[in-house]
Amino acid sequence: MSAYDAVVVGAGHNALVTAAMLASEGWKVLVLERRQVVGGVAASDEFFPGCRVNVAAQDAGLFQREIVSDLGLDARELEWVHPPAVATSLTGGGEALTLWRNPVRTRDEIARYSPADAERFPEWADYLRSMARVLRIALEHPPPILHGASARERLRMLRPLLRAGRLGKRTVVELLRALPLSARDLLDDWFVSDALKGMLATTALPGARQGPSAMGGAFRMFYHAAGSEAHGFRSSIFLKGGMGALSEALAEAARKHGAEVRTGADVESILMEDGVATGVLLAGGEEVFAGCVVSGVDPRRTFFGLVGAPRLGPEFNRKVTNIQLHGTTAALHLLLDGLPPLPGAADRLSGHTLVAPDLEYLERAGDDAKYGRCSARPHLDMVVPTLQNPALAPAGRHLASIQIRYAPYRLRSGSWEDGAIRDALLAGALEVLDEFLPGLRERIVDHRLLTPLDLEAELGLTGGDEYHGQMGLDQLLFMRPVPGWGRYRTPVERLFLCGSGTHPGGGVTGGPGRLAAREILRDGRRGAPLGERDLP
Amino acid sequence: MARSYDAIVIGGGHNGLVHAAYLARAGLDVCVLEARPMVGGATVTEEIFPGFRYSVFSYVVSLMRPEIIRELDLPRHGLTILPLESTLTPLPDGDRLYRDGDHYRTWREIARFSARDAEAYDDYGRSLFFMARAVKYLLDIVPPDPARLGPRDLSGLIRLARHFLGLEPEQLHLLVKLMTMSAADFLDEWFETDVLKATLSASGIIGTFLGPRSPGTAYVLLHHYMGEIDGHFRAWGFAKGGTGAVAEAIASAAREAGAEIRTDAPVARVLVRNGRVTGVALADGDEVHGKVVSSSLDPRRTFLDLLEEDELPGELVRAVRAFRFRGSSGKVNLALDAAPDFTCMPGWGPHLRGAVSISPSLDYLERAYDDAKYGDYSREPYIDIVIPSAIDPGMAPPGKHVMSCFVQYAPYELREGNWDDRREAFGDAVVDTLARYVPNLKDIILHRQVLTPLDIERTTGLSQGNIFQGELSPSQLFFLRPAAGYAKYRTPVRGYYQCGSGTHPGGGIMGAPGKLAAGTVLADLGRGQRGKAR
Repeated sequence: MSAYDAVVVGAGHNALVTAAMLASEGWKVLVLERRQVVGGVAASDEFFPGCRVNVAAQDAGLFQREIVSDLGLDARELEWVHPPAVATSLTGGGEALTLWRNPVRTRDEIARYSPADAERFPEWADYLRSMARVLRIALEHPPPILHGASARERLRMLRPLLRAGRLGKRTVVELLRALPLSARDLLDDWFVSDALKGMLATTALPGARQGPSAMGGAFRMFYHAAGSEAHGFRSSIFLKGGMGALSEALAEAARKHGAEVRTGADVESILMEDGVATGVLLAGGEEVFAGCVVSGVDPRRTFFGLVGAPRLGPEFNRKVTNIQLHGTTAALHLLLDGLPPLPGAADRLSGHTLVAPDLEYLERAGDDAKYGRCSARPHLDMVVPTLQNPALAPAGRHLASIQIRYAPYRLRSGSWEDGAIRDALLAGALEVLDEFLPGLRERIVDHRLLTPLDLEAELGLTGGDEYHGQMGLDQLLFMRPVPGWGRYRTPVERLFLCGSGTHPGGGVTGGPGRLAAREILRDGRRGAPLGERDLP
Repeated sequence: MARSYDAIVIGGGHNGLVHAAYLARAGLDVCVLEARPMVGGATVTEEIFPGFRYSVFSYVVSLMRPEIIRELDLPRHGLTILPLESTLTPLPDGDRLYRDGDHYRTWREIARFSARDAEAYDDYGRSLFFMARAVKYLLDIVPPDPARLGPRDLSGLIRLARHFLGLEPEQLHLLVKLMTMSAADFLDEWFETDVLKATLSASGIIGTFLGPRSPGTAYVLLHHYMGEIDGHFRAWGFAKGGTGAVAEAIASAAREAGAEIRTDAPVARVLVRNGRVTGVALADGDEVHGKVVSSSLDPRRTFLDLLEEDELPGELVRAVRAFRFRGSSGKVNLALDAAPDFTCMPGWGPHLRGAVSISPSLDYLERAYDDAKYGDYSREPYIDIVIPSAIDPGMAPPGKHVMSCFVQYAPYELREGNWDDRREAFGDAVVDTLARYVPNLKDIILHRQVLTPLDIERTTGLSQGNIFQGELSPSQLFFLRPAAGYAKYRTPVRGYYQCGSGTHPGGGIMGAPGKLAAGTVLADLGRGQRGKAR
């Protein structure tokens, strides 16, 4: 009889969702987090004295609100901020194009670049939302089982189809047509303004090592728009307390339901007895036994790092090796002593602030990544959380967190250990920033750069890939994390996955954690936790 | 006085001719109208330079549906296909990758680069062979339409689901990867040798405006694996007398079945009276009347050029406008005074009777694509070469040769200048690239024909010079080719049909669209073939 029904490896937001859901069903759950703070990619860290910095993830808009209500997350902790600006694209020469939450303002803004596009934009916003809505159905259900599905399974699989059917055949067919398109193809059909197209195309870039001309970008545009209002861009919703607030609220909910959450607990390997997971071994040598092990860690690290390839079949190992895992992003955190002299900065910089002046700029940045080098002129995605909540930094200070794209984990020449490459990346990013947002550089008091290698070391992300595996059409549904293992189970009995490496995928959605918990509960024979079942 | 037919076929390309042949065999009074002086469209052999016969555009045969060859008895009409025996990929350092029909020799050759790859090579071949067989099922059916979802569409979709769910899980996963991945990523799962991956990935970029690392190219790779010659799978061949011989054989079969074929008869527009087709008006003003009109031209011409917009629903007009052509390839045909001498395989040899692929590395192909992405032709292009005269001596005078070079990338729209001014510069880039591997090339060139996407469009009428009548991308296949709701060869105009490569199952000298469309026409006329028309 194990001490716990389930031990959860890692306290990223997905792992915490799973833990909380299992605990709320009366399971005895232990969460083990290597770092001192919970949240993983969705954590807040001090970094600068008296600050609360979003370590990697910035945007909370994709988080499935059903989870908030299901788990009864503390409303006081979770204050959602909808900033006036959805996104601002710095188009050069001190110019800026802002998509506002207020569609009328957006219209006037775009009209400065193209009256025709301004006319078209509301239609685009509706289109984007309707595509996102259909896609979301696939994301809210477990991936289909194509072989040997029970009659009951088959019925379950009909549900999403029927839901999709209700949205209309035409919409579904249009989604099928549009999903494989490149961001460029899709946007060329809608707009003429380079500035607008470049801006919108940025939502296709996270989660893949692909420029805007590569196919499959439209899918990522729809994916990142899921759950957002119809403002024609990706989600742009933040948390007053920073991303950490979400993870802490999830941890709190888990504890409330009786789960234990231990930080500073580094899981070294997964314990097994004749092919069945029985618990975990901690770095200190401590062994924890449980009815099942749930890993929120990315699939490659789970199988090769925690289980060990020799304990898995060659066929399966080949699949794990073939997972497309590409870290492409570096995170740059800045402590500022004020805002840049951009007119109306407080408003304009309140959402995502982008350096993406046109499609070709992004394409060339992507080409650098294609050949395994950092972008000479990178695409930047900046968020200034102190505009939503000054309390995140000492009085008179501002925080800016910038995603630098592309900074490929795998470099053709040199390595990230080499300080010169770090410096070059930083210099390049600041140069571009200075060019597109003059005056910001002078405001920098302190900075912290996280290269893909740092992200791997700090957060345990294989290859520095925040998405735990590229978000391409070839790594979705029953193909995620590896073909044929889409249902959160693994070749190791009683070892489950619940991280972004599983369906529906990366981003702060909580989706994988939620669906994983449901599957685990189904195995737990009507609430009777796995630990109380005799081993076969 | 305008002559009247049961059916008029616009365009005498291979699909138009196949279509006409099947209609005529079913007893219809058929007339084919071809704009050029000869039939074939992009499937022609022309003696551009005295004594030297070029397969001007399309240059190899593989995808032609065997049942069409059988049913139309094309061998009797003069079609002979000579197999291409090998593929040579020369490398800049004088080394090469040479694969031919000799299994052990090929194994040893690949093993020079990687023993692991030599082992994986057969496995790879078997897997793609199986995949192609599984997908070939689609080549012979009219796509069911989820946008309409009539009873037949529903049953069609169910049959489809059954077919693919009947595959082994591993095979189904492989198929999903082929439909979604990039050729490079797909091949990375099998091989480590750059030159092998590059040469194999090349068939994934042909006719597309995508690089080998762009998702979607793995499908095109599979598409080129569906070829079949006399039941011999994946074989590529060369038509005796040049590619034009294919069109002429089909034309002769059509004529024998009673079809009339008129050349120099460009169609200006399709005549419609209250939603029904009545015939066509020729460029010279003559009218030809028919109960049925089938267009083998690409979707843009079929709908936007030959009809008035107000004769079409807005959704179709929008869809056709969004349909992607963007030709990306050019062609350079050379008349040579002697045989080309490859540094990596000097002198005469069987390699000259095979294909030669200038694709030394994946980065090479990607860089070629990058040039085109930014609106210029590739400085160092991917080139697919065949030397027809080495296989069929009749193609050139004794001792002399013709060399056919398919070139990518050449974007239809240039960022600087126009194709008429830059045509020869493009030709030079191709010859300079080749000369690095064939030192004697420049001295033996007697004549050079350079065809840009613009030339392809001007001569054959293919919009933007796209050789497939529209990119073979997942968004433009099956029930989406050319547009959701209009992929079953019918059009909103009663009696007006589509039968070209712009419809399912797409481009290449395959003939399937022409045949499937004929089935639909005959079914609508209540003339048998119902099974085929589903």
